[in-house]
Amino acid sequence: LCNPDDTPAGPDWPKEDIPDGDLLYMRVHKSYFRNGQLQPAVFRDIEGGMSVNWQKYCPTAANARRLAKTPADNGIISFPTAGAVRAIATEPRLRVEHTPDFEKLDRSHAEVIGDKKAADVRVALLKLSVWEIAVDAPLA
Amino acid sequence: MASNLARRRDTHIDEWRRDSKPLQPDQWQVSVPTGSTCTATYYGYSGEPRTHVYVASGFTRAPRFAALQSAIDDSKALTNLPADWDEAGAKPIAKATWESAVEALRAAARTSFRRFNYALPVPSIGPCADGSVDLYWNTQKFTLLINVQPNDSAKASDFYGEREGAKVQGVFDPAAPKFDFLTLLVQP
Repeated sequence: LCNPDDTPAGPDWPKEDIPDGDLLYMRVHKSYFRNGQLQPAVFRDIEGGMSVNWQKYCPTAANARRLAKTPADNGIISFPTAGAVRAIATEPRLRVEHTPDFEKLDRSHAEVIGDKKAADVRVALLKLSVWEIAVDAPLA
Repeated sequence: MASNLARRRDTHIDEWRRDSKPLQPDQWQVSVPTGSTCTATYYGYSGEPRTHVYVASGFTRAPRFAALQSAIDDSKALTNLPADWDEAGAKPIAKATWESAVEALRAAARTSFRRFNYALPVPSIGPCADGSVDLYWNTQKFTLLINVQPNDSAKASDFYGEREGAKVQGVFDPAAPKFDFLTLLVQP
């Protein structure tokens, strides 16, 4: 789990500000990988936000992959900087907020909040993303 | 008559169909033996039906349309996706939504070919978690995403495209699609 400092689980994890320069990981289910390329549909909200993992508490892409329900069915992409996500030209701007998941003991959990249904936003997110672990890569 | 045939030997099959009836999907890829004939009827300004006879000169159909049809055929499997196909609560894709997306794609391909003489590349036809369908092109020339929503969706279908820094975006009506935005994306 993404709790490298062995800090205690529970309400002791404060919600922190994610600096613009920090990297975010995101899990991508294999169903969004078609014809050899990632699909813009992968960027969507689940319960109000799009889940990502803050590198500060999730040091590697492999860590992020292990957080998936079925790791073997997921690849990992990254957004090199949170600031680039916040800078996508849409109004209102996307927000990147730290939202530790106490139920899953995931201190790295964060969400990208804002409209991701618009086609231009999804294309922008896709252009920002970088492959870290391919969908069909064997588990580490 | 002979001169008429000669003048029309090289007429592209899509051109004469424009004047007669809409090109049907199963007619997009037809091998026409050299020397064989076919007829087309259209209506002139006077309202009189006119029939032209064409002699195939050995041309082959635009191969891109065959690839497009193949992609469309493959994409029909989207309508078989179960609920929660992405393990994150995704909705199934309704057949009507897929059909709307496919018709929009065919219309885009026809428009591109007729207006710009450009065979639209084959897009990715992909499912979205909200039950809509994406048509996505990411080519060296341009990027284009058309999202086709279910008929009963509160959200409008929309598109976004860009080419060399220029951008186009807006809402999209799958029932009466307009492809003016292709001017920016595919014209030479």
